[in-house]
Amino acid sequence: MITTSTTELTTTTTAPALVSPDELFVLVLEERLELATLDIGHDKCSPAAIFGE
Amino acid sequence: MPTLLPLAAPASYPGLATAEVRPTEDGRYLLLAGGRVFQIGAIVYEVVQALQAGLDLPAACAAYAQRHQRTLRADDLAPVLHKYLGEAAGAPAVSRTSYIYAQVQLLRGEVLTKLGQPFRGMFRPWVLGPLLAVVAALLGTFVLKQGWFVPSFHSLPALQTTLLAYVGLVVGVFFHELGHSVAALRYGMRPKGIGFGFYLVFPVFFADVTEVWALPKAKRIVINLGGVYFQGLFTLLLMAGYYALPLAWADSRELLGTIITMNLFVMLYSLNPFLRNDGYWVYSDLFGLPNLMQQAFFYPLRWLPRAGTRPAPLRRAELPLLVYSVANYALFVYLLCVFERYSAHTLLPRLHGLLSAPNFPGNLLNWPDALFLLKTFGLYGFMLYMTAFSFWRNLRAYAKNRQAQAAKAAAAATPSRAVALA
Repeated sequence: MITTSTTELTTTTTAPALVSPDELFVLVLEERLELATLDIGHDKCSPAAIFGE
Repeated sequence: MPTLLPLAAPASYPGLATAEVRPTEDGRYLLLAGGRVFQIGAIVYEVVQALQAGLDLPAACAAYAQRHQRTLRADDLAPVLHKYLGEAAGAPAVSRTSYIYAQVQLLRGEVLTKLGQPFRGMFRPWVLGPLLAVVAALLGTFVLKQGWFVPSFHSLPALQTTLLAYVGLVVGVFFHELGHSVAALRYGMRPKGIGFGFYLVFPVFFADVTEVWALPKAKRIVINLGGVYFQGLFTLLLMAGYYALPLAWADSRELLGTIITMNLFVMLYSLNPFLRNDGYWVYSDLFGLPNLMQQAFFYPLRWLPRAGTRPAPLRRAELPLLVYSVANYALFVYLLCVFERYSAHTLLPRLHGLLSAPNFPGNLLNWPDALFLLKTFGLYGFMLYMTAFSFWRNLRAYAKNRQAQAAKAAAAATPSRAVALA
């Protein structure tokens, strides 16, 4: 008696990795305005007042 | 190939024609659109370049997928591009409100570029280092020898002297802004101009150097300090004038001394890391913390337990943000205390005196009292408005942030729709 067996051939394909939405991030950078103050209350906050001279 | 939805043609991104994408020297990618700067990832960078080369979005995504063997879904990317490239055409997706209001431009970028070109050499390392040392040493010696001048103006007519002192300060502060702009020019950036406006309650001059986000941190730090450097050089010239004046010209010497002190004080104040002074940008750049103010504002939320899970333990890398956030809140509380003290000791007693005087309300027509009331309530109202406004802005930013996080989480939870390649 001859027994035959069949083997099912399974082929697998590799799915390419999906780009995650996290990788599509956009960070809104704050505007860079380099400022210098013209008045910080020089009469009351003068160095002399602060350092007690 | 993955199925890609037929999506909007490039014409849907009105900002595309004028948007600029560029890699930075330190390996980041920036998108400059509508006068704003966005930090983007390598994928968005590549796709925007493909769109600018004339491909439509599905084709650009397909090209990316082919090149990197990764599936890029156009329907993930489309909202991102709509939001940021649409914004350049004036769509209100990304708020463009500036933290300096009532802005007036004093010098346009093109003029500034021409004006600043000859001074670029001042930022060569072999000029900058020694000169900075000389400025610091001489100004330090001046303070030690002469002391801090009190702007008392007792010997000259007050109005005239005060005005002259402020003219001296304005010129110094202008040099300060020129310093930031020239430093930006030195590294190939285009300064957008110098302007005047109000930051919280302070009148300020500002230099718009938003483009310098494209530079590595060491260069950004030089630009941050360029203002104090130039203002220091200007103050050094004043100091030379001070010593050149004969001793007999006491009034002029006192005036000049006062201008020097005011400039020195503004320079020192600029270096503090709070309220977006130069020191703020130094701290932000040094520790790699973009949008520091916003990050510091929301940092405490990180310690709240979420959905029953305990907050993650403190990482060493987040120490600079922790320190800044704590200090920032402490400063806020301190300023509230100062304000309260002023109210209790000065403002309220005087107000009470005015309101309970026998000749009330006729006494309010007395001009020093009227001026006092006007100034006080103007200031109170303004501070209240600014606090509410700033709180509202931060809250709105927080809501947007939460919305974006929720969208990200939802996207991550969606099962992959990648189609297997046969």
